[in-house]
Amino acid sequence: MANSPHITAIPKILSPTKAYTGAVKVIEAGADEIYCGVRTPGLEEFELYRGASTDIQTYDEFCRVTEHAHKHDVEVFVTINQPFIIDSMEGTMTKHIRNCVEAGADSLIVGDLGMLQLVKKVAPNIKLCASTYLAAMNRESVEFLRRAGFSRVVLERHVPFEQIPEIAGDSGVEVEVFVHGSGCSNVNVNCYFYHYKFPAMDQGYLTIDGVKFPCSLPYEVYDRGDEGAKLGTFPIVDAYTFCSLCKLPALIRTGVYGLKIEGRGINEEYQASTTRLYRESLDMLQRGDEESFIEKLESIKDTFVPLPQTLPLTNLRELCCEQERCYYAPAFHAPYKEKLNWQTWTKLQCKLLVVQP
Amino acid sequence: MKFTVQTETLSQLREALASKCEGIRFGMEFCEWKIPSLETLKKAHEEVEDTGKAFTYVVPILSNVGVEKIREHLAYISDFEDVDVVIGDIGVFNLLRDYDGLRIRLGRPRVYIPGRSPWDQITRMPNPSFVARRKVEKIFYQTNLNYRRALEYYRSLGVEGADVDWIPKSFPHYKKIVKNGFRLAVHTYAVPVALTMRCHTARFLGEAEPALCTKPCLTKAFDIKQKELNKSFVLHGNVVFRLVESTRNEIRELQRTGVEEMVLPMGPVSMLSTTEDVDEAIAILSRGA
Repeated sequence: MANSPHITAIPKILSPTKAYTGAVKVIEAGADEIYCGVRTPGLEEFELYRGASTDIQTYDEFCRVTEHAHKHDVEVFVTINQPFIIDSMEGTMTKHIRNCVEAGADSLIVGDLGMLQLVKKVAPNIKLCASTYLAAMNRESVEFLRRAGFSRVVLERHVPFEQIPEIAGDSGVEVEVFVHGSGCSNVNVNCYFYHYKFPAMDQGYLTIDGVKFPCSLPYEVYDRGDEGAKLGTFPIVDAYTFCSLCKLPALIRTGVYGLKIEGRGINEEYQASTTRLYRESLDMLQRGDEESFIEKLESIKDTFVPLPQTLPLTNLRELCCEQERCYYAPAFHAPYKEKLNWQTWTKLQCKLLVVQP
Repeated sequence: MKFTVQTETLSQLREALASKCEGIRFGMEFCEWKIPSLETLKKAHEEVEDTGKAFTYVVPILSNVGVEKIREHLAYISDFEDVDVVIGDIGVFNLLRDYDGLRIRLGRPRVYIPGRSPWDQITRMPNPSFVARRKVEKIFYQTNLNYRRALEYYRSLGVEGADVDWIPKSFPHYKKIVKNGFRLAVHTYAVPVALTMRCHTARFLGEAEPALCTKPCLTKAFDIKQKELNKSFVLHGNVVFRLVESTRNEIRELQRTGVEEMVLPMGPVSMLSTTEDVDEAIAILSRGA
């Protein structure tokens, strides 16, 4: 919460919201900053990654959100991050940017360098946050984005954990990382498996174990170039991650400025309970009580229930820990993937040994 | 239109050099762990230079580890004239401030085209009206380069062209980009649908860690089929592709756009592995003329 005592070394919590009521709840739960989309009149039908239902529905409602947030010293970030803009969208986006800024947005999250040019023209004084859509994974990218006018950069979820301190340190911008919620199997914006053939995000989330995202489904796998020999059926493109609670002390030490909770599309209870979980954990670590935090982690895993009403899995331990769906795990870490049986594995390895150039 | 061949190894490069292609692309488009050593790059460049074919160096999305390798590589190739660099990572723009001789193109990871999606459904709306569908369609097959401010900005960074995909519904939009003075190269055979840094192939095959990866994808790809989706893809290393075929009419249509280059990828996705394979592919893709 904005009123709680902070030392600069403790990162800010950035929480998602999609409605005034949700904004009130996440601020009450301890968000330092909030982020949201606002429905863009004229572009409702064109939604690539999220539906308009994940946006705040009107500028009036957004105004109420910013008023409430500012009363509590909480800044509001607005995602202007369609992953691209084309000439015919300029008029619509110009009005949208202007309306968001006039309604009190503190910062705009931008995911495309073309869009950046428009934002700078329409709202030259607003703070700019580089979306994860820009796939910043190294310090040169962060420096490029700083020079392009961004004061904050959200790193790509796939950035190797050990490189975060090198990227965040002395970068000259606020570096933010995702900590909780959908950690995509693929790199944002370089994934065209749009989820809209699937149940709404809320339901999709619920079936994390039943798997309802295209990247999480089981695929029949055939050896290409070996007369199509079938190797089996595996969730071969599933590298989905979800939680980074255990990594929290290490994340703080990386020097990142912000910790972002994913979930604009998920319900308010999830948004608030997750915010509270991270707030309480950070507060404990801020008091220098890392040992108590580590001790408490085990009970958190057993008791924290992100979506109590309908979730088939009961708690964080079952939802994330047992499947090892940890953010910032090593790149090739995939214990949740079904293993190849040894015969198939041996066959493949032998073949690779023979044909390796 | 000229034909170039995307190669990842020296053996592929030598096969391509003996073919009728006009240019060679060398380097990694999607995986930083397969970036060649400086020695290999030097060798590749020398061999191409000897033949008089065009040389293009390709750079993927990078972590800090990859940046250090590419920094070294750019220092080397910047000594030569007429080298194109295809960049997949925005950090490379920062490195390029030190060099002015290089011709820069945006790689496919930097060009956004919703039409790469494998789904026919182009909007989340469950039953869009005809008007709504038409409206979305007008946007869906365009690219982030169909925006004049984006083009102006990229030009200010020294970018002269970009790589795009074989998406026939996007061809009219490519034409507009070319008209605005951008050089476009269209990749054939496969459209990238998803790119990961948590390599699906490496995880599947039990590779231990990126730095120790045995690079099985240099020779191997997997056909993957999903029943519920009724879709088939090719998994190659850290990229899921959907295969595309090029019909004679499409080739003709592409030629009318002013696109200057068609890229043929060697390797297990296209199954082009020899000089003869490449020549046959060029012959087929030239038939639209």
